[in-house]
Amino acid sequence: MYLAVKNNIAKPAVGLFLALSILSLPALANSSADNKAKGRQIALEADKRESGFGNSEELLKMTLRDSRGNERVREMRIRVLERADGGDWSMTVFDNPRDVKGTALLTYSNGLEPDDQWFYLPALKRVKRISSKNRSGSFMGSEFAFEDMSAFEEVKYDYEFIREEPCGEQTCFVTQWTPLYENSGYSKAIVWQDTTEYRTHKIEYYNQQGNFYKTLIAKDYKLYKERFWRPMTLVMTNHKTEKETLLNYKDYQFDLGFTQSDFSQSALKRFR
Amino acid sequence: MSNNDNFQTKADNAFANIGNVIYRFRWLVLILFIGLSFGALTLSGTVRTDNSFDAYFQESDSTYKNYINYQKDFGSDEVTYILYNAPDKEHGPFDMDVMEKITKLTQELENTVPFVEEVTSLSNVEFIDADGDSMQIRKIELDFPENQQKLLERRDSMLDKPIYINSLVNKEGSDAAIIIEMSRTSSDPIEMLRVDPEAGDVLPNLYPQASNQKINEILAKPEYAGISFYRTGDVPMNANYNEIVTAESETFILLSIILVAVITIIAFRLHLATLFGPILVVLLGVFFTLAFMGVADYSIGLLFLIAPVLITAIGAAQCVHFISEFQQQRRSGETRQVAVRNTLSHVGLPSLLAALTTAAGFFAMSGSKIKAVADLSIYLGVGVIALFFITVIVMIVFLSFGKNEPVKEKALTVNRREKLSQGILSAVYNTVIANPKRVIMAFAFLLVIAVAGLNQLKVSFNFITDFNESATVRVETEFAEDKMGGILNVVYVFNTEQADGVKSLAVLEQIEALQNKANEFDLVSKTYSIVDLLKDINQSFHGGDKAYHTLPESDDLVSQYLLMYEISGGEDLDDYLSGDYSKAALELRVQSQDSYLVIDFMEELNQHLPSAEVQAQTAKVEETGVGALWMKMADYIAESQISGYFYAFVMIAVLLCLVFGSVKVGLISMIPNLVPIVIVLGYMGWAGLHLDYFRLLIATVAIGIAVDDSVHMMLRLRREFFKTGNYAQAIKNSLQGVGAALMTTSVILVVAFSVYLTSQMNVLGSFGSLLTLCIVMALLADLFLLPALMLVLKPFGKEFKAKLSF
Repeated sequence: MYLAVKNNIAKPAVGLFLALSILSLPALANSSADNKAKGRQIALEADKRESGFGNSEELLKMTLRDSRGNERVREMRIRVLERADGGDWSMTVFDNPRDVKGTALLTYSNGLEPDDQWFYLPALKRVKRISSKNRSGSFMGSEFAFEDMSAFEEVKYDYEFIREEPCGEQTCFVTQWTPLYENSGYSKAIVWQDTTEYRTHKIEYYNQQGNFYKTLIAKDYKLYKERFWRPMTLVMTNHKTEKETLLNYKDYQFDLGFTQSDFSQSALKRFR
Repeated sequence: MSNNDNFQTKADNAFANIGNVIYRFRWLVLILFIGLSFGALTLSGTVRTDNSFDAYFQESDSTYKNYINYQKDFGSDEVTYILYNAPDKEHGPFDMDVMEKITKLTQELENTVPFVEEVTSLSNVEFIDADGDSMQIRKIELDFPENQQKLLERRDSMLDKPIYINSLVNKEGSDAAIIIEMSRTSSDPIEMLRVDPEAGDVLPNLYPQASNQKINEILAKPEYAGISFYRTGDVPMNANYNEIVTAESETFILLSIILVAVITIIAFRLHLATLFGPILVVLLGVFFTLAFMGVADYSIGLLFLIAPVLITAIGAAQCVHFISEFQQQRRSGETRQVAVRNTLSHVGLPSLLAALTTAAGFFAMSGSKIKAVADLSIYLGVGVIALFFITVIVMIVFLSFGKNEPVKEKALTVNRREKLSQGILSAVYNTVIANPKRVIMAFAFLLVIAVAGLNQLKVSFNFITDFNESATVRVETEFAEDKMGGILNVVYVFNTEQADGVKSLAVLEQIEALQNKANEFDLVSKTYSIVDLLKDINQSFHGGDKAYHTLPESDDLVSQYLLMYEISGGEDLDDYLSGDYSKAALELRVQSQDSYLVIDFMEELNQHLPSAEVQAQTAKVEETGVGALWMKMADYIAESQISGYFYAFVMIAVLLCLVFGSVKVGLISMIPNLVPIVIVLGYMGWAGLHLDYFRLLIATVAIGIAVDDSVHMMLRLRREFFKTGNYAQAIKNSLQGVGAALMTTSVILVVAFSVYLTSQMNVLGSFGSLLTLCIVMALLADLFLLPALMLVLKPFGKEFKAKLSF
């Protein structure tokens, strides 16, 4: 279920259609079929509003906190190239801790298929291709799963609008997303998105046994390029293990002129 | 008349007055008592069951605290281990059909068994695979082989990696395992252990029974037919313990009551009071004890199993003295009211003393560092004192109902059983009188042999062999251990006390050295640590070249490998490292042998720990896991045994010295209680029976119970001596007066303790037979040794010519 790294692509035509459709949502949302349609439209509209940023670079501080409050911190820089013909490409280089400084990861997102990834180890000065089909697995040892960080694809979920309710000073759509892809760790997720900007504020995840499993809180939204809202803080709490992962983003930059050649295996070795 | 006589007379008079009051207000007393009993019955339902290790350790115990900290850092260590094979399939666990079933089973277990943290099997275990310039973490369930040949290739790759051998698959590939890690431990708060929060605290709704039940249900499904499963680990073991404890607690109460009823019918003529009195006494004794446990928040553990039978035996024995005295009073032509009064007057003080000495025996263990033993000693001590009051009220009320006039002459005749007991007691008297020194020498001889046996007594226990040979959980555990190795966890935590500290090669090399040493022991079947994972990654990163099955060459590379592992989707680091990477666990899987063998092994391995200097520079090494708990528990057993017996002896001896007003008499009356216990412990030494967490109770339980009969005998001897002025006559009168009651109470105790032999737990059966032996020896000592000591030591002073009183 995407959110933390925005690297999907919007379809303008679909977006226009959706924008028009959503205007008439309250009248439609009477039956189960209507609720499903409305849920899908909300998700697509949110996705549309995130798309079209081109390329970006930001700093990320990841804090892994165990149930006893012990912490490990990683700091990294992330470059993203939005691609029109499929999943986005990203390059991540680690700055901290010191012993992993210069370690870098190149990812080609493949939607429903496993991502292609290459990993550069400065200690051996070697690049290794790595891959995993484990969508429900932990992302970098955090409480985020790979599926939480992967690109949005409309076909990956079944959607159902549940209700509207106040969320802080705003009003939120509350929608249920049910994964349709194989090997998900979730049976469903309940998503809170505000009705004005379609920003996601909270997601509650339920595991395959149907038990309340994790909560994601997204906050401190900032507007970039007068169009793109980005959360500066994401907190994922695992209620089973009582572990928590904090993602703090900062220094978002856009339109840096990245091209595909900046996202190659040779570029991976040079990325500092 | 001495002060002591005054005390005894005053006490007798006080009890006589109580007897009168109860007789007069028997209906009111009965109604009040029924009300109180209903209250106790309600409270008794609030007690919970707990048989985990946590039930054995105090929260403040430092070893236990380390263990809890270990669980917090590395997760609950409670698991279910399911060994399986497919004898009809050529490729066993690596048959396509079997692997498909196991894949489905793994998912079903993970998705439907309550309180599961993670399920690992061959189908979903991480497999770090190298292929040219690429490396991936694969799982069979995500990348299922297309045909049998491909699966066999995966098998060969897996069998080539030491990390899987003897944990998920044996080295031949014929047997494999599913490991279910649980998210709970049995000591979690009860509200966290309920499957359905609304369904209450019945066993099937609680962890681990609910998890165990669901696992059994799933494994029995027809779709998994053709695969043989063998279950072991904490969940089946604890669930079985709990189910047995609960079922047998109820069975034991029922069996004990039936036995008490049968014995009292045989021992005394059928009468409302003699039949229902003891039954009610023991039932109420159990309920009041449970009510106290509920109020004081004590839980029912394995040791509780001895409680119902002990309460039944002690309660019934007390009743025997009441009934026996009452019948003697009636035989002497007293009205019911006078008989009731005299019964309480004669039996009240000895019974109170007996209750106090028995309770003292239990309370002596309350300082034990084994929580279950300390708890048991408190609630049983309180239960025994409650039992005294219950006996007085119930028996006196029951004996008060009926016609008040003296009984007819026919009822006074002596029956065959009474003739037999009088014959035995005459023979006892003749033997003791003929040569008291020879009797003492015979006991002294036995004592010398026993003391030699004491030197061979060893502290040891084994939770697997605690179950009967035929118990499913034992059979399956032994099979699993035989095929795959041990299930007992011994853990060494390397604590660097700084975040990311374990990524240092210096620390990893310490872990590797200790791990290599541990692998040299036959008792160790498997070891796990972060070192295994790093070696596996290093090998995979170098194209699977076995020459690289080594630790990485630099600290930086260690860190980068771990990062790569996590980015590739690896999720097993939690098993090896604490959340902040400050601690690493070296886990040893050890065969569940007798604890002393495990402790010997651990002591030997500890010789190879890094020196204090090295630890100060790298990581502090802390022992924990179940192995460390075992070690500590063995220490505590030895400690409890020595201190418990010392305190029991001192408390009871002081009590007896005070009652008899003489240190000499008090100490002499302790001899018949000491002798049987030394003999039984000596016998255990000779027979190779180890002192475990159950058998450590034998000495204090036995001394507390055995002393009851000694008190009755000694008080009677004293009374008869001061009446007759002659030791031989006093012995004769005492044997006639209380000898039969002593034999009856001993028979009741022996029969009641034989109920333990029906248990599915070997440990309890053995406890019962040793306790029985102790009771028999105590009876022999009371009948032979105590009178012989009277004749030789003359503790009440010189003989004199008796004056006729009144």
